[in-house]
Amino acid sequence: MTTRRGAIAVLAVLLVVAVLLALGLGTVWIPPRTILRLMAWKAGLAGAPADVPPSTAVILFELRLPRVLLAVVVGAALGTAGAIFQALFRNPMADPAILGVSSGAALGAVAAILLGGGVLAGGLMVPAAGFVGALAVAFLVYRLGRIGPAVQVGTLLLAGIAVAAVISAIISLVLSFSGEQIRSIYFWLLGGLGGRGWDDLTGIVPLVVVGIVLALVEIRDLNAMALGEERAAQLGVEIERFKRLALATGALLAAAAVSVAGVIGFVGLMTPHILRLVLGADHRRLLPATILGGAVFMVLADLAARSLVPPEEIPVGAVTALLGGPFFLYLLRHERKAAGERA
Amino acid sequence: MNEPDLLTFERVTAGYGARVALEDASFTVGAGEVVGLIGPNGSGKTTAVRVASRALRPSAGQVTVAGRDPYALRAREVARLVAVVPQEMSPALEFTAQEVVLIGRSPYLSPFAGGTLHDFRRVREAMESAGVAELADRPLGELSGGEKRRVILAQALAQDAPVLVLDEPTTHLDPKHVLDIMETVRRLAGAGRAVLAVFHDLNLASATCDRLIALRDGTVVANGPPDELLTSALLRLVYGVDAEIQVNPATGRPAVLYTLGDEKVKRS
Repeated sequence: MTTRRGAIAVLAVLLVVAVLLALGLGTVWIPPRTILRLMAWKAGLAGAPADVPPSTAVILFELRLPRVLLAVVVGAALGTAGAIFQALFRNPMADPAILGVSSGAALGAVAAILLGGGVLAGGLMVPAAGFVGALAVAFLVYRLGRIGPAVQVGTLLLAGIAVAAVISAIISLVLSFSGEQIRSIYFWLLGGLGGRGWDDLTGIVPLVVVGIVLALVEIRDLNAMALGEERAAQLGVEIERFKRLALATGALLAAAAVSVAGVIGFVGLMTPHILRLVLGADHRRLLPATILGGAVFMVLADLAARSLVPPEEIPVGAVTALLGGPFFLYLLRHERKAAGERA
Repeated sequence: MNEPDLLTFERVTAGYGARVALEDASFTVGAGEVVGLIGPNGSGKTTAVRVASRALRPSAGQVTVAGRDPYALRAREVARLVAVVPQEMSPALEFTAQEVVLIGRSPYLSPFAGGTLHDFRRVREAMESAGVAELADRPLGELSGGEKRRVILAQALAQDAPVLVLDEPTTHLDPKHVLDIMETVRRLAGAGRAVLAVFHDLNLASATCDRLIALRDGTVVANGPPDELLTSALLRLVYGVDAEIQVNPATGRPAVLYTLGDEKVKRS
């Protein structure tokens, strides 16, 4: 049990290390010591470090820090959304991207931007429209995947994949007709954190905080749901209300992430799944661990996206897909074997 | 009646869509009593369990649990009054036994599911009652079928509900585990709970229950102590089988001896 508790601490340390690494690496290497001294200076705890050129501070605070923090927030949001969907659908392969929820959010966000909503409601219009799209897809796919009393795993995944494919096509079409460049289509479909700044961060942090607080409040009922809907009801869960709340929470988190980073797959799939193998399925541990783990995964994936082939950037969604695709296939095979053994 | 009736069905009719699965059923289960529901497949046993556990609202009649109408209460309040031991449960294999039993405390836990010292004490007591205390830290996936069943029993016990409803809690278990579970159930009734249990095994029902209720086609056809209720005539009426009833010399309870069709000639 102590190892299981310690895992949270280990993840927290990993996150700090990953953040320092991502802040330091780039065209200019900034050593961790310098990063910490610069931060102390910014926080008013120390004087300006005399031996550090001002350009280093600009790189750190204007380019890298907002991007790394954005990766933290986006990763935490996607990981948490994945954990919620996996518990809700009782399926370790559920993830906002696979279920099409992220595509729904992207379509909503693209529509809001093209209709000129980007500046409305203090910039909240894009995530809001993304939320509507994500929510609509979440409920649609849930309905499609549900046959009789149970959510059928295969049907659910196929429904999600089909819906995601249709929506991705619509996004491409809409963007092509609007004269947007291929690059921006790429961005929405494969995701990325390039060119994002402090405004994007402050825009989504409140949404992600709300989503994570909601997720933490759902821990008890997520655990009961792991035993099946009927059993959860016997244990006092108001099933229908809870499912709506949990779907909305997952959609909110996915929409917040997508509105700044596009569709990034597999973070929500892999993070909870791997942590479940180590920590077990109890959401009292799994959910906090997934929040941290998603952030670590995303920070490292984004670091890889911008450093593997400099000066070019790979879409971060391509990095997560390269890691996550094979993992997904392995899971699929593993699941089918397990299902075969049960039958 | 000295004991209060913790579970009452009064002229309850319930079903699924147009199909009526339970019709005009009336019975009670008192504190300290173990009552068995018997009857063939499709006779309405599981429907009765679902009605009692707020999963299926009756279309007519009244059900009460500890004197209250479960359909006028919230799910959480009902979960403090009725604990169900289900026939099957989704295999939550990556939970430890203790975590599964703690989920049984859901009706009392905060939304964060932290669990107070009291919750953990009740979890430990429930696990001791069900004989699974030593399995606390083992993942469910590593346990045998019998151990898993007892963990699920412990989960229901952790609900601290005065009414316990068991839906065929011992299917697929070997005799040793079956008897262990039944002994635990009788001990719980002895401590003042009302127990309603669905049985397929008539000898087990006879050995365990204070009273039996026989269902056929959704209606109650008999209700009484095993030694009065279990007769050849009733088994022919309810199940359409030929069986002889003898008395278990050790307990004085009736024992059912079946006769297969091709051996009837020899007997007569």
